[in-house]
Amino acid sequence: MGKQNECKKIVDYSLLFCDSETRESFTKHLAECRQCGRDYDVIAKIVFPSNDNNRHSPSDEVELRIIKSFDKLSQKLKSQDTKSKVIIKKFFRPFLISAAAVFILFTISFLYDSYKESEFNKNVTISYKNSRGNVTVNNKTADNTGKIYESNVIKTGDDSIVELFFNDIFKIKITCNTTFKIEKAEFDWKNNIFNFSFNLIDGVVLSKIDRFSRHQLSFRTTNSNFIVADTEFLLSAHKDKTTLLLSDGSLNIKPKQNEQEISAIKDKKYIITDRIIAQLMDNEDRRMIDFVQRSSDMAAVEKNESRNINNISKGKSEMVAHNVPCDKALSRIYESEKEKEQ
Amino acid sequence: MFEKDKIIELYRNYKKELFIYIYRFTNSHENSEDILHDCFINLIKYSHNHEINESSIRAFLYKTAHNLSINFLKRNTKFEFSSIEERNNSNILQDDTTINDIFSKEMNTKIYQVLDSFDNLSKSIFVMKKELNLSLDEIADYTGYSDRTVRRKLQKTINFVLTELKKSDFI
Repeated sequence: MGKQNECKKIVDYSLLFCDSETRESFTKHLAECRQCGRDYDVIAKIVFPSNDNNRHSPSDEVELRIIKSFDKLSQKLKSQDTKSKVIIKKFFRPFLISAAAVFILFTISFLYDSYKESEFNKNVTISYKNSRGNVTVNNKTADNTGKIYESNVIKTGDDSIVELFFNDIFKIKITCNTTFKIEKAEFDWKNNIFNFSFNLIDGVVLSKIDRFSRHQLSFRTTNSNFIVADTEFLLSAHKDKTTLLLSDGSLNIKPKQNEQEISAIKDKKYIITDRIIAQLMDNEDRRMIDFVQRSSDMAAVEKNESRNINNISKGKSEMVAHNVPCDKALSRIYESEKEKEQ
Repeated sequence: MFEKDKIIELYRNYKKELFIYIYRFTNSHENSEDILHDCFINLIKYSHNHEINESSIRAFLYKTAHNLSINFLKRNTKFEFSSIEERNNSNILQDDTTINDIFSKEMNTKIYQVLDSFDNLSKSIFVMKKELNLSLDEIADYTGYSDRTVRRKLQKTINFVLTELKKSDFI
């Protein structure tokens, strides 16, 4: 064991594995110990380089071979690079196509949403029902029922009544000899509400706005604007005179000639010219409202009655008694007003 | 990828030591040249696909030489053991020699005979230390083993060689 340790020390010493202190002390020991000195000589021969190393050297041919190989290899590697680029392109092609498809779909979706917000809003449709007489929409004869849109202009004849309705938000009865325009009919996507704006150019309309409606509705005539909600009113416009009969709810009147805004109160009548005159509604006003309210109903009843009458072959006079033309009914109201003014 | 001039420069710098190292494995001049050539071809290919620092080139070459030499030994199941005459009488030996030189050569031959019975790693470590005088750290880096393993294997190899030489009455 002791000999092995000594041998190990000599090996470490010859391989320079020991620290400087150990080396110094062992050097002294080697000088003193013959056996260890001999062993060290042998180990040195083992560890030291072979004395024929200088004679080992590759021939010059090796260098030439390497150069030739380099030339071949560089060409080969360059062509491989080109192929690998093509392969990479082919490999990534499906991913690129998928990414492009996703991008296109996203773009289309985004554009559609933008379009919906801008253009689609205007395609809010309002339904109408022609109770009696002839009606034109944009100067074209309209069917008995149908749809109208923003910027459409409705004109009723002498004895015509048309009812506009949109879900439960509003019902507007357009009476005879009335020109009525849908100025705005759109959906506000951001606030999730409908925006309607109507222009009573000339004539009489009866409007009923839903109590729980949170949507934006407004009317205007030649000289006034009306912001309406949760209300029922009859509005008539003729030349420079606007008449409002408020039968239920409340609304704001904003005359165009001045900036004064007035809150209209139920059961009052407002005559708007260059000024606003407020009066209590009288029986004739209520009669007019009632007439318009019942007018489409009356038309239906009259149709049925006229059929029955025809079947029974009653006299013409009886038919006339039931069949009151709209313009005549309303003309009485206008006449009564004239009489009043006089 | 390295330029041609660079490859030639590297070859001229490292050919001697690499050849000695490889030769101690193969004991064949021709095979050693082939392996040396392959080392540099591997370097060219590697440099094409990877960035390689100047300081890493030597390590790369030794690792490649180490692996190629071991693969050579594995492929040749019978050691192409060159005879003593070849070791002594090949073109390596050119000069007139003294008795000491003859003795040294014989002992060297015996050392490598003994070494042939060792595992390739031990042999590789021994050759790097003996012939190329590489440091412990360098050997560890080139072989991919720890300093401790290298040191242990080297000590064991030398001790064994010493024992065998004593048995053979070389000492």
